[in-house]
Amino acid sequence: MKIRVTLNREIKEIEISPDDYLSEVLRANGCKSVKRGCDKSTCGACTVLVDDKPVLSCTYLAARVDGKTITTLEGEQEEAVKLGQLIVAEGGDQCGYCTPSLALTTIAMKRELISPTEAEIVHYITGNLCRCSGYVAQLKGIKKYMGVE
Amino acid sequence: MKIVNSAAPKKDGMKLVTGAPVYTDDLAPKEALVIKLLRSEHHFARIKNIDTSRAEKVPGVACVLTHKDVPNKRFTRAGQTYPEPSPQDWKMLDEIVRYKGDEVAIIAATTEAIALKAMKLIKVDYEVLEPVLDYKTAMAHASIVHPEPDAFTHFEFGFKPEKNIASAYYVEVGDYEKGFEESDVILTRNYETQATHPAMMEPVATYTYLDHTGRLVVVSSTQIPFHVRRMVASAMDLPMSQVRVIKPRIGGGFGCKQTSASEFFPAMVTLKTGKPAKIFYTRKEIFLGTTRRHPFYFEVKIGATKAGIVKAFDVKAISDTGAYGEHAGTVMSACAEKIMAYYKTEGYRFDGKAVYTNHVSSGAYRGYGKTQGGFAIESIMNELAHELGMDPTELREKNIIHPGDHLRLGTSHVYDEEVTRQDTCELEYCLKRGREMIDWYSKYPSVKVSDTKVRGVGMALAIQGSGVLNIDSGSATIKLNSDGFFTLLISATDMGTGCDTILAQMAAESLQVPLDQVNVYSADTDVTPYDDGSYASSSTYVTGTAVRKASEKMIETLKSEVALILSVPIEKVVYHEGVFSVDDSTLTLEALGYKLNRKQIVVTDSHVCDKEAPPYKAGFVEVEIDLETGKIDVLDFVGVIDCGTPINTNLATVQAQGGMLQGIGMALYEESEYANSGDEKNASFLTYKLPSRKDALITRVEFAPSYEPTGPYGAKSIGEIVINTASPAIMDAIFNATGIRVRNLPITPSKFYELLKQTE
Amino acid sequence: MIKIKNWVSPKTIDEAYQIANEKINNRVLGGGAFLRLAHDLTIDTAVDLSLLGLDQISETERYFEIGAMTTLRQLETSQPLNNAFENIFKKSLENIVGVQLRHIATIGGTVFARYGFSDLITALMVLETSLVFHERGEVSLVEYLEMPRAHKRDKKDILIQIRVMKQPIKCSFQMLRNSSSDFAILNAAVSKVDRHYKIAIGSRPGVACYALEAMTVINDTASINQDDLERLKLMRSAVSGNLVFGTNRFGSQSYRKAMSEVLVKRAFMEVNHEN
Repeated sequence: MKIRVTLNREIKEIEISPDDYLSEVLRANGCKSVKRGCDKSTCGACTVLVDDKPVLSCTYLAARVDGKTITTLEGEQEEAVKLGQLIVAEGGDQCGYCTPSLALTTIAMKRELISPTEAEIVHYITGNLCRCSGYVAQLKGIKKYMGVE
Repeated sequence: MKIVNSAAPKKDGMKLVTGAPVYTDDLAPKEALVIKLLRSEHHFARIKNIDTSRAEKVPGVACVLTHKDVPNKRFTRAGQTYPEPSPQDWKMLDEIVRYKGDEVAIIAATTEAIALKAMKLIKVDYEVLEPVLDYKTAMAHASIVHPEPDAFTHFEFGFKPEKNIASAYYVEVGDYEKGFEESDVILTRNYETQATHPAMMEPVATYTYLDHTGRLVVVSSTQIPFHVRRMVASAMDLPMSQVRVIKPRIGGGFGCKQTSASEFFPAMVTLKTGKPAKIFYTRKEIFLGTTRRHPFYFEVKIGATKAGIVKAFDVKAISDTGAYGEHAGTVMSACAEKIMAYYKTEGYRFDGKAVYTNHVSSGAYRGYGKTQGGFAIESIMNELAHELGMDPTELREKNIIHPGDHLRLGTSHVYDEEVTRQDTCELEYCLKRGREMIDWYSKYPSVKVSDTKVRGVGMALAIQGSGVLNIDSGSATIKLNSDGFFTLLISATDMGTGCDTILAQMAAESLQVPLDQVNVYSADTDVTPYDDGSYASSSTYVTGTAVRKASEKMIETLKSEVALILSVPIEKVVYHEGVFSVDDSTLTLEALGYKLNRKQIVVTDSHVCDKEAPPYKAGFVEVEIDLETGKIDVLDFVGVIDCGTPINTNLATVQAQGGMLQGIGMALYEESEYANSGDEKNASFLTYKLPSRKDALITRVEFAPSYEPTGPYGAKSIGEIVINTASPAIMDAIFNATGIRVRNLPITPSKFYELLKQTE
Repeated sequence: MIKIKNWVSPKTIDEAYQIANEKINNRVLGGGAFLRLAHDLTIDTAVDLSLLGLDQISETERYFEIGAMTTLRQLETSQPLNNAFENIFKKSLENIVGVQLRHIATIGGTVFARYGFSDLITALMVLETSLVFHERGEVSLVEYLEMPRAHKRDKKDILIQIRVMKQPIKCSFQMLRNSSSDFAILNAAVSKVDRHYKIAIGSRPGVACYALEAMTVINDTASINQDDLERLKLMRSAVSGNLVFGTNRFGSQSYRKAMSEVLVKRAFMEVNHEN
């Protein structure tokens, strides 16, 4: 089947199978910031925005996004650089495998939450697991990006 | 110039966080065949027959390979310096399968869906054998996990397959019997640690292709490119010259990628078909097809005087190495060698056996035996303190070693005193500073918060290595380029730790140039110099020393070139921050670079770990326990670490925060559990729970002022030690709060609660 | 492995119902979050409900009407809903994995599948909740949970709406997790409407059900006086009376049984707390 989507501001028609997950379709279409980490909707590494909402693309069927707007970190490079510099300055990037998805979730959070508390920030990004950093350095950078403290 | 001891951002940081395609699977060619592995559905079985004919007929299938189609070679997947101490007991595909998940067949197809479809059509006839599923009784089990006659070891390490023993390690140090005789108090306790997973976020991945000369190129997410080259060549029956291994960015390793899991299968397919091939493990396959921390059972005896002078230890250990003996002996010896070495006793004994079972293989994971052994030794130290009515921190103060003292290594090898003398050992500082930071004396042993909530504090010390003595080696090659910048070639494998940046910082500091004038490339066995790889906490201390040596050699070489150009004796040439000067005339690096276009200057130097310069740590934890539910919350976890002088303060801090949180995971949440049938119950992140950012944020990490004279710019290691204190400290904190001691990990609410009810 | 041969996104519920029942392996998809939990599944035609406008939370005078395709995240962040029920939606949903999964999983999918581990079902049990099906019409949640599981050959009904009655209510949700984003070892909810209590316990690990004996103890007194302590004790000991607990990796049967009393006590105290 064919789906028509706006992928990173570009209208695209993509041929898919009804059982394709969005993550694989996006990777096949050049969006390598979308990672496969757990295959069980638990780690957050495959996060993308569908109509501006963060979802797990490893669990989201590609057939579902027909007519929708999809954003991966490839389409948010300006914000990614801003946030990235703040995380890298703290040493929070580490292996980097989980950070593109964390960045995208954070970008969505900034558009959704107005002056959140630290606890609200942590709550919003809890679905993004990281095994390297212990989360503290990431949080420092994210708080700066969010303009908190 | 101060480039070391700063918080330089990682060189690859911005590309990583903005999602650049830099990992193995991102780089694999689109046309690569996709590989899936058929895995055993039995714990232990002999393959009587495999019929792949239907699978092979599926359109899009390139090949289906079974044990009949691959070279009949037995070796070890453990990434260790040759000759490897691990038993040579693994075969790419074997007639006998030894755990549920063991590889049975390789399927290569044009798409993943086709490969999976074909996999279902393979018919395997198994003769099911009686599995060994309890490691504590494995030595007496009627089944032999490795009955094959061709398994062997390069040298004696206790390998007795007929008794299901993969490796054994026995050592007596000093006069431990005298120690027990002189003791007023003798305690005996048992402790057990569970199987936990490295669980790096990037799964294991590899792709392979034949280059323009027909050589096999293996691109893999690995900590050990040179070991992989050796193993793949051996497995494929190829000369090593025909294999090239390249490591792109690695999405975490923690030891999991120190055992070669995925490389052989695509390599075999590429050789058979001539086509590029790739494999990407699912998370389930990471749990069922790679390695995890060896579970350990300890019987520990400690003897001490009433005054709290520890006299002797006696430790018996059994570890579960699972189906294959990867790292079995060295995890055991790594455990034995150091966990009692920083206490001044009369002596100790260690008797450990790593046994085969029909479980998933165990292997390397951050801490490598010292995490398990440290849990046992630090726990019995805490129990001794309570037995003696003594503060656990003060018991440590009476027994720890200090700078100038010697490590009492648990080895029969006799080392030169220079090797074991501790030039830096800030255990006492770590202990006292940690005690102060957590406000020990006002919190110890416990504080009641309400009728149902109580808080307790606990502590533990730790040791690790900085590389493996006389074994770990690293090299660095430095090249001067046209306009004066340098290229640093290394084969240490930055898996997120930032060692590329850390090593470049050292080079830049030595070469007296800004950090951006040093480019780093790692690792490609065709291009970069030999290195064992990044494991055993060796990159900063061992490869770092090689970098420093090479940098200094580069300056000397350049000075002699300047002397030649200016026709002056070399002694007259002075180098300072990118400028060579002789009297009044100067020559910049940039100018020299162009001049030397006609004479490429490349220097290489190597370093072999020749000193025991271990890092030390004190961990202090405060927990709150809900007495009604047994729920345990970590409120505060303080780490004070003697890692020498950190080269990169940010990256050292983040190593500590990440490692300490993994430690909490091991203490409280993580476990590979088995069903009654012996099946793995937790082969996904749905139930194998990594700590999330809501569980604990470790903000209080400090470094002891310390400068290791044998380390590069004063550095020792940091990568592994940080995981070590959580379990014993948390166990004692819970005891201090409630009087309940849970001696087997993880300490779950359910386990704690049942013990609480039993004692009420 | 999940295999889906065809995909349809019907424009009407009638059409969806008809296609769903055309073939035995046709299947209605809610949010689809279950797909990653399933092992092997072959679907002939997947019937996608996302174009039916079932993702709305609306209010009538007597009810909140929640479309079956409303995501858990919508429920968690809905102000009117959480104001009306003392944040029980937020509290029962906020620990489920992460925002990203809660943007996928739907109330319809959760309720329809009757997941044992569900936190939401436990919360809904103590509210006045009914389910509106396309064919069967309105059924109370409790009644639905007690129905035998549909056979593969049975007619496939479509859950359209979850209806929650508005009433002056005090309610509390309690749960016990080891690590914060894990499944609940046990969860419990208590509500109080005009001196009448409902107590539900879930993740036993079976799906939520009422602690009927405890409800009898607490509700069968003509008048409530201040020596609630005694009755509380009695209720606590009755909590596990009619409930079946099991052992799985999160907790043993005996631990769950003990915890059910603790969680119900806590919920009871919260419900009766003045503020």
